[in-house]
Amino acid sequence: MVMKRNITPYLAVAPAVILVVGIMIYPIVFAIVHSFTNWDGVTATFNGLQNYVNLFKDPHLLRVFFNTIVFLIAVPLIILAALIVAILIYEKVFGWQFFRALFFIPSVLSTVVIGLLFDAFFGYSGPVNTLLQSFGVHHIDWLGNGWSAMIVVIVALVWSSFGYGMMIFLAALAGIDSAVYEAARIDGAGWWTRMFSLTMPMLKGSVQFLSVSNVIYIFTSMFGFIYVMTAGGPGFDTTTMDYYIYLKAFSGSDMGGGSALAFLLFIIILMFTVVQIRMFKQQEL
Amino acid sequence: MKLYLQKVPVFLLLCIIALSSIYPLIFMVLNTFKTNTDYMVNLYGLPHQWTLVNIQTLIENYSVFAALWHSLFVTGISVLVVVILGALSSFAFAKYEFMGKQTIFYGMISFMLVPGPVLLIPIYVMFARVQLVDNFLSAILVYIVINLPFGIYMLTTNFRNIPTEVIESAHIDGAGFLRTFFSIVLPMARASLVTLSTLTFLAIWNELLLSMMLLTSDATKLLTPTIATIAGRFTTNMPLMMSGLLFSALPTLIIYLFLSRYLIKGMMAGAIK
Repeated sequence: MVMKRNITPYLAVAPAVILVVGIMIYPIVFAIVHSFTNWDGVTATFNGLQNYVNLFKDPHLLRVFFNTIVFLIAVPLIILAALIVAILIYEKVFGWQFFRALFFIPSVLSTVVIGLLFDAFFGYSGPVNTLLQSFGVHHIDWLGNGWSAMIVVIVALVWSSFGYGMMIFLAALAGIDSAVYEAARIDGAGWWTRMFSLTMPMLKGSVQFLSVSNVIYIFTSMFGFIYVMTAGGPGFDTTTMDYYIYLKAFSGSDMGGGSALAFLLFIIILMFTVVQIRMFKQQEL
Repeated sequence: MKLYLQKVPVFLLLCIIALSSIYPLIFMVLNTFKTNTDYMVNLYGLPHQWTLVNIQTLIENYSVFAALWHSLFVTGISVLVVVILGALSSFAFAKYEFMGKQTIFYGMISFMLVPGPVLLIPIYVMFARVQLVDNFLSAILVYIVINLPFGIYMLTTNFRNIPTEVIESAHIDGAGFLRTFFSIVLPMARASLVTLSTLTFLAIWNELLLSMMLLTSDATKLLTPTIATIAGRFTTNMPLMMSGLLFSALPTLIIYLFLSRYLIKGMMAGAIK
């Protein structure tokens, strides 16, 4: 470490710190305070815990929370797909670098592009229905029905996220000493033995990271998908937490209720993250 | 290396996965160049007659070029500021000792945990109060602030790998903080700077919710929300919708094409975890 007692490092970090504090902390505090008020964005009157009481009385909230939980099914699917692809790439067959670059392409697209692409694919006379029709299956209204719409969203989620997971796994695999593999092979360990006793334990940290980050992603970043694919419908059947905040605040002008919901979401995410980290810690003991 | 699982099946399996991960994009490109009637009768195949009519409609009727410039402007400035401010503070965090360093550093990166939707309402109301809604500055400020914590986290981790002796000998030779920063740190950390720029570019370019709220008029609208709103109306004209998607995806695909080598190298070095 270089230098002590000097003002320079403070000057170097100051712009970043001032910006982040000024544009994040102030609004966050402001929102928490206003979650205890009746607020339409202009005028606010204190109403205690009323917004929170209303949230728990809200008939849609349970459905919205349930929807988000259903979408969490995508997390193990993403991790499994990413793991399989990473292991295949790690075999370093002909063209493996090309495949690695190719599988990341869905991850650079926006949720808008991905969402609308899958909308088109599963549309009434889209490719999926046309394909099914040639097998004699009648047209399915994929997005007009709560459960099938969820399946489409989950497929879109897995398709768009497995490439990122693959990169995380490959980065972890790159850290494994190939001499260890050689030694194991000479000792007569087969492919499966090496997979489960050498490779898998190395990937535990990556599984934890992907699990935590994907759960956060599904709680906070579904808006793009839902907005373009289903608009939360039919009814509230595919509405997620973040989409519901948007609806409350900008369609209902209920900024106080929206803020209360946002604060609740924050608490839920924090709980999920802590629980997951605990779970992974326990496994290591 | 490690040749027990036979390689041919692995290769074939990878080809199948490649096809399914790239097919939606092929579908998007092919249908961009079809007429609507051609699409109806010829869903999967090549266009019977390649046409630019969809691209033309898109440009003439939906001012997508204006939105493209807005997006390039907002994203470009935000990425630049994130990388510069991120690198400056990361250099201090990684290589200098100062009072309160740990607290400031962990304080900054803990903002990575603040979910976007939580910020939505307060940020909107704050910018509405100072009348910056529909002003590029609001979106630029928000994007900088949302992406800075991750940038600082990533660059600090990377800068720690620069040998301290190199920095110290620069100081002995009389180079100050900024001189050392520009002539030693930045060149040595080029790969991680490119990785961060690319990831930040993608995050901002693809963002929908905040830009939709903050930049609403035609004079400021960004590309992703523009495509999201207009493409929703094209459900009866798939080729037009596909051309919209291609138009908004193309810049990210081009950037990925040129920078994927750096990006993948950066990610393999553990830059994103």
